[in-house]
Amino acid sequence: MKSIFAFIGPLLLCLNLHAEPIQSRIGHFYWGVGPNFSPLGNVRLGFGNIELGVLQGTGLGAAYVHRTNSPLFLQIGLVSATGGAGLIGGGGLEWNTFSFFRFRTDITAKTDNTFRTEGFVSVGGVLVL
Amino acid sequence: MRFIAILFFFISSPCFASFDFGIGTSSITSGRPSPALALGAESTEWGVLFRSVGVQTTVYAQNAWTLGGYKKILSEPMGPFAVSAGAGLGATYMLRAYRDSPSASGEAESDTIVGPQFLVKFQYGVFYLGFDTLLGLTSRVEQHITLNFQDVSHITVGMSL
Repeated sequence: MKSIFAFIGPLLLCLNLHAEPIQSRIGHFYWGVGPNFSPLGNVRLGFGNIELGVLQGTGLGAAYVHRTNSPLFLQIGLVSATGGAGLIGGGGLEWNTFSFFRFRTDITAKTDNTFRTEGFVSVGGVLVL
Repeated sequence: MRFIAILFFFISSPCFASFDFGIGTSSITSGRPSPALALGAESTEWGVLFRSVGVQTTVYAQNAWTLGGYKKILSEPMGPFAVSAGAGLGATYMLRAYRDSPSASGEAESDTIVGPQFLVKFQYGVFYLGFDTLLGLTSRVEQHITLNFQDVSHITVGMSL
């Protein structure tokens, strides 16, 4: 089911069948599982557009999340990766499932200072604080 | 020569609004600082991208070429930057060759990876930083249910003209 959402979300967005814009940007906690449902895919505390915590199942870091007037958001950040400092970027989708909860999926790519590059898919939820 | 002719055809085509030329890192050669060639062309709604990366030593070689097409789903300012995103389909053809020693005869294998492709670009003036990921699909659907894909990711920097 998670995988289906990861695919259908961008497809629906292409067809302009997306959800309502996300309004709340006060603070949130995002938890998402990674490949093989690894529990530490993404564990982030969000303050406005800044998110701090575990990024892409790699290490601790900070990301700037650019939200739009649709479920689509983009992100770029720095993370302490396996080979050292790393750069992470990508996008994702968030849906206002309830006023206090958003369903979220991330697709990101990361490289570190040894140029070890990898993609990552994460699915989870955002608790709006 | 054929490649230059194709490139010239795309550049001279009026249907594209911008062209991307860059280099980057690739998941294909993870752990090796081998630069990947990154080319792309975009219209106001659609885009195509091409990535090429390869390594060669005396005993092995690995090359990969990625081609994708995407629809632009976002293009807007973000402070001093311009951001854009696209979603579409892509394919990677990978060629690998091995041999036990430099004097031995080698074996070659190839793979084709196909799947949805996603692209994000952060642009400042003509310079851009791009992230693209192709989520390669396999016949083993259960792998995708657990969020495993044959991902081919590139992070590129370059100029968009």
